Amino acid sequence: MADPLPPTGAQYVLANERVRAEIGSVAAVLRALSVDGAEVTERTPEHRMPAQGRGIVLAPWPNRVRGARWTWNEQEQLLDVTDPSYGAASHGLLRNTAYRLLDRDDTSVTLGAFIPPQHGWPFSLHTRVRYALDDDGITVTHAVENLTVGPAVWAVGAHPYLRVGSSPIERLRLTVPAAVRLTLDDTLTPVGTEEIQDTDADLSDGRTVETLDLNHPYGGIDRGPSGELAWLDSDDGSRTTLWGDEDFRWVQVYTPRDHPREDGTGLAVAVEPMTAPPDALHSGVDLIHLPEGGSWQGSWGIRYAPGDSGRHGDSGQHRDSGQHGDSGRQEGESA
Amino acid sequence: MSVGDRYTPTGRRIRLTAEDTELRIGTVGAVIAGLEVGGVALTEPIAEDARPAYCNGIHLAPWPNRVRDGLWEHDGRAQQLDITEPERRNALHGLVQFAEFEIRHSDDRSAILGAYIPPQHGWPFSLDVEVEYRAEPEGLSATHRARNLSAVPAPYATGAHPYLRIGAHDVADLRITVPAEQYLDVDDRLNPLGVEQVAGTRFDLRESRVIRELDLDTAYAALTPVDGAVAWLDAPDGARLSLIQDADWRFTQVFTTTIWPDAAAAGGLRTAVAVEPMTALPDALNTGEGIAWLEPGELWEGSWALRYERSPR
Repeated sequence: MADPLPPTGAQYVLANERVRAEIGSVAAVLRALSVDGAEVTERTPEHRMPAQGRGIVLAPWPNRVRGARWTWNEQEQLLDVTDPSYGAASHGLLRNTAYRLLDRDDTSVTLGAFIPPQHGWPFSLHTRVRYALDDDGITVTHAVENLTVGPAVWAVGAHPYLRVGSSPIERLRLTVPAAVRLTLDDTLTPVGTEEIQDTDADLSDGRTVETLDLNHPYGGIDRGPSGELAWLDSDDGSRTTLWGDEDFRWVQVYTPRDHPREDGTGLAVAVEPMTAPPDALHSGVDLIHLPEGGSWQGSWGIRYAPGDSGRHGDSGQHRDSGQHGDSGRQEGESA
Repeated sequence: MSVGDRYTPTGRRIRLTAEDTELRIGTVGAVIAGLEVGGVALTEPIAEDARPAYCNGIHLAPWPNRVRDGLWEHDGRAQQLDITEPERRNALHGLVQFAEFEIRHSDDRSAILGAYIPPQHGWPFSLDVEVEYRAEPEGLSATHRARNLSAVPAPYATGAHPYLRIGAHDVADLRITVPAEQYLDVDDRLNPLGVEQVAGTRFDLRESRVIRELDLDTAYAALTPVDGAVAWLDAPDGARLSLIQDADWRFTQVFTTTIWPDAAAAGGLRTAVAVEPMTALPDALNTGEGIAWLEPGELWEGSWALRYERSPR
């Protein structure tokens, strides 16, 4: 029988000159990512399960399905209720699945999983996730193949909680150049759309994370030349950027105050790239339609740039926050 | 053994043989997709392009049957499992029904399938579970295994969910015998009310009963096996199909249905019967009845079998 395993199953460590990533098989979880020694995602230690969905892949749909039921070909589909507190089905069907290793080398790993027809899901799909290190971060490529006799639908997302090294989350500034935010009911599923430019909900000029209380999907994102979906800036000018290709049209921003870490709980910020918004199986918004035998592929990633003080982000060493180099920027000023 | 190279709705298909026996397995749910001895079908087959009807042939781990409300308690903390039977608001049949098992070993007549069960909602343990299926000259045998990979003791129980038949006989015409003294009385959500004596009730199967007359979704206890058999089906021509289970598999569930999908049947529906070996009773995570507590690193192993006897000449 199998040898003892960490709770997230078989593990893979990727490393190049600047970047290190740790990946677990269960939910193809990105347990840790650091650049120049700076953690750019909240870490899940090898002996722990990811808390609050930290780092997991969300497939074949991200976020909640209202009432854990939807309709396909005029037949009601009853999904397992995996979020009983809201009576919803949340975060897809692979959360407890150990993906299989398909390919790997020192700086990349490809994992795969078969999604069979099951409660409330009438399709056969095979999905792959490839984590590949870049010079300054990581690229995550999701692929899916429709093995159903007939068409299928698909959406995918991921759940990184972002960091900028050891900078306190409270003081980071989050920018999301989004034109819309979905309004939610008390089951956290969308009921409408609001245009947020120049409103309190607008994140496009940067907001200090401490001032945010969100679990909301943002869309209409102006992705810019390098596909930036969102970025976090620290006081010393370091930046962690979340980017995505044109299929990643949504980000969920979630700011729990009780995020567990090894040294206690506290504020964290998840910035979750998604191809479709919550409850897409009902709304149809941005659902990807795969013909019989069809396939799809899309990528997102995280990159890090140290502040122009020249000092790299550190992962726990003492920070001389009052002694920055030449940026000239005062604490508390927005970017 | 041959392994299909494409994904069917039940995953990759495995074909095992022994003398006149063919046993087909699907990797999703480690499902028994078909069993024939001398061309006589002994389980309801799952066509290659089909999904199992009503949990046909699935491996049940790390518990069989229901957990009431999906809620149980461990170490003083409430554990909320995913609700996998939404219409009755329970957690049903364990955590691997739609898991794609990996093929860990295979030869012409046997295959070992395994799956890792990570900690998840309502289940704070790591388990590795396996099932070894063997084609036998008289049917099949199956060995279930579980190893606790957690640092704390973990609960485990298991079962299987074969729907039985004997060749071309109408299942409604078969007679079933279950030499058990007790059955589990249940409420309208099929959760336990209490163990009762079968004597004098419609649940008494100690003398053979024709399936047509039965309406059961019933766990039997206080089994009194005959020749190792805890239950058997008899066909009008004298053929017999028996369920054998290890002595520490103390329970058997019998489920009869008249809405088994079959395109060849009048109205597309007919009678079918599941006879399910189990090591624990329904809602065992709450009652403790039949749960094995595995120490860290401990391995549990147990077996059951289907044995076919052709009609005597």
